[in-house]
Amino acid sequence: MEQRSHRDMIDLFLDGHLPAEMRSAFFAALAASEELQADFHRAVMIHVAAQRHAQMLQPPPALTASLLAAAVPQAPAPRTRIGWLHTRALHTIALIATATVIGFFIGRLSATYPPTTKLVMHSGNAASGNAATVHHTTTQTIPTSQHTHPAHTATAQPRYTSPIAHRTPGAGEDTEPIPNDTLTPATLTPLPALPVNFSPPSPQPMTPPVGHSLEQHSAPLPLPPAVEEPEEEFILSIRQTTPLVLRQQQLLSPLSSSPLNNTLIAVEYRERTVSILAQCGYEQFPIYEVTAAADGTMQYTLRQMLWWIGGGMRVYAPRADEGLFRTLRPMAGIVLGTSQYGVLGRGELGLSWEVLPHLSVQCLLEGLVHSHGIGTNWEHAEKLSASVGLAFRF
Amino acid sequence: MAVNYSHLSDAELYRYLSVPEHRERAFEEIYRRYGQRIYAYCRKILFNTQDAEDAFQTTFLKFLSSVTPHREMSNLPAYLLTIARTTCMDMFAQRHEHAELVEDFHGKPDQTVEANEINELIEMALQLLPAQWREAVIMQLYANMSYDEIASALGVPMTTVRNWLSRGKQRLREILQPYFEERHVEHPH
Repeated sequence: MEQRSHRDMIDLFLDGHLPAEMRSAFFAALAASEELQADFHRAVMIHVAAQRHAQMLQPPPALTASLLAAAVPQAPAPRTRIGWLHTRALHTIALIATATVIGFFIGRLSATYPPTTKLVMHSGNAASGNAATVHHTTTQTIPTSQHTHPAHTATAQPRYTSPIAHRTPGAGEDTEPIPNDTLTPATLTPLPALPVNFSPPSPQPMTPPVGHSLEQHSAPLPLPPAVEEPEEEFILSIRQTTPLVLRQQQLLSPLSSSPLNNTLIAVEYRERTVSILAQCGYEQFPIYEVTAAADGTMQYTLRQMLWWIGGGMRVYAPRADEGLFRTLRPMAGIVLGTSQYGVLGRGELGLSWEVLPHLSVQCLLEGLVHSHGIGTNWEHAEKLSASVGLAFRF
Repeated sequence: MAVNYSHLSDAELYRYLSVPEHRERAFEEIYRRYGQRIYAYCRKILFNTQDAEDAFQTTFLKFLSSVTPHREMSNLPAYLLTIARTTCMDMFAQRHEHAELVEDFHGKPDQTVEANEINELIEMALQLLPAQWREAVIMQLYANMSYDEIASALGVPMTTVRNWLSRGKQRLREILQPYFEERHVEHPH
């Protein structure tokens, strides 16, 4: 116990904290004990070595210079926060819009359109035997993009007519001209607008008209698909997103339970398998907002929520006629946007489950990269998240 | 009238940090007084030069951004050490790069072999101490902090600091005893 107290005195003495009244006792003990002398020697060696080593640990000159420069008062920055109408943001939006339009048209032109569509036109009543009825029933191949053709007569101009009037009549066909007075408006009523797939009014095979051979119509008519694929539609979707991986997770604190937090809203215009969209989001994301104080110093404020808006495009897998992928459609998209602090890019990959004709459930995996300026530097933050939501198609 | 900053107290220097025309020189003086000690602390706590430089820079930038004109600064070195300690702990928790611990064990070219050897041994012995003892010893031996400053930085009473230092340094000597005995046999004087 006595030895222990003397050993304590060694450190107190070397640190200059040994009281004067204890020093004589300490020196006497030191003189009497070789073990205490050896311990004192070791303490001095360690103390001196550490002090010498500490003196050699000097901050690098470049680091010193940068820190001293940081203390120089700066004139208040005119505007360090990037606003919505900042030039950089406008350039980004213009770039996004251009890229989206180009991508959309490239996707549309390169999409696999059906080369031809079987169109069965039947005008008049074949069973009536009326000589005034035009008996032109034929199978005509027309491009789907052509929706207007020359009219049959001068008195009526049906919207969807075949150029059959220009063909050479075959043998046995009624080639007599039709008197104008026998034509009635009822017989030449413009045909209703044809559906996309030009499905026949009835899946039953039709009776071959007079003057046509059976071989000409022997091929079975295509059955209508179970679900019609609309040519174009608008999609309004709302999703809730949850962060899976966030590099700056330790900067964030739990959010209050607000229904708006981590919400994404998208408006989309889709033609077949390609769409363009505008999307906005309100997500939890660590952002250092930089502002200049009155004395010119830079203030760093950690913000938790990020408003952003952007545009992009999506590609959907073609709808299958049957099977799982009749209603389940894989999709991928890219969105570029801007927030009030900087610019961002998103990549999306997921599924759209078209449960009802006008309702879908979307499940997406999203990667988000956000860049914003801190002073003269750019800071990047990344997030991987998953989102689930509803989409209304109309 | 020109101000001789080296004659000002820490509290006066801190007040001058809020005055734009004095800010640069006041910070320079504070840096001159405590920069090396804070840097040595960061180096010894983090074991890695790059991390230590990052922590050191962050410490002084945080210090600058935290300056407020109405605060009375009673213990500036302890305040700086507290910022440095928090920064180092955050960095240490983030990176876990123990593999680079060997970096600082290699001595500098201008040091003698003997000095390198003993410094490396002290460094390794420090790692064997309990965390609180080690931190107190590093603050005292390398950052040259007083008992009072260490107590303020660690938020413990001064008697606790004295106890940690005493226990920590005695343990250091026990760990290094075989080395000193070997040296004593080789070099009796």
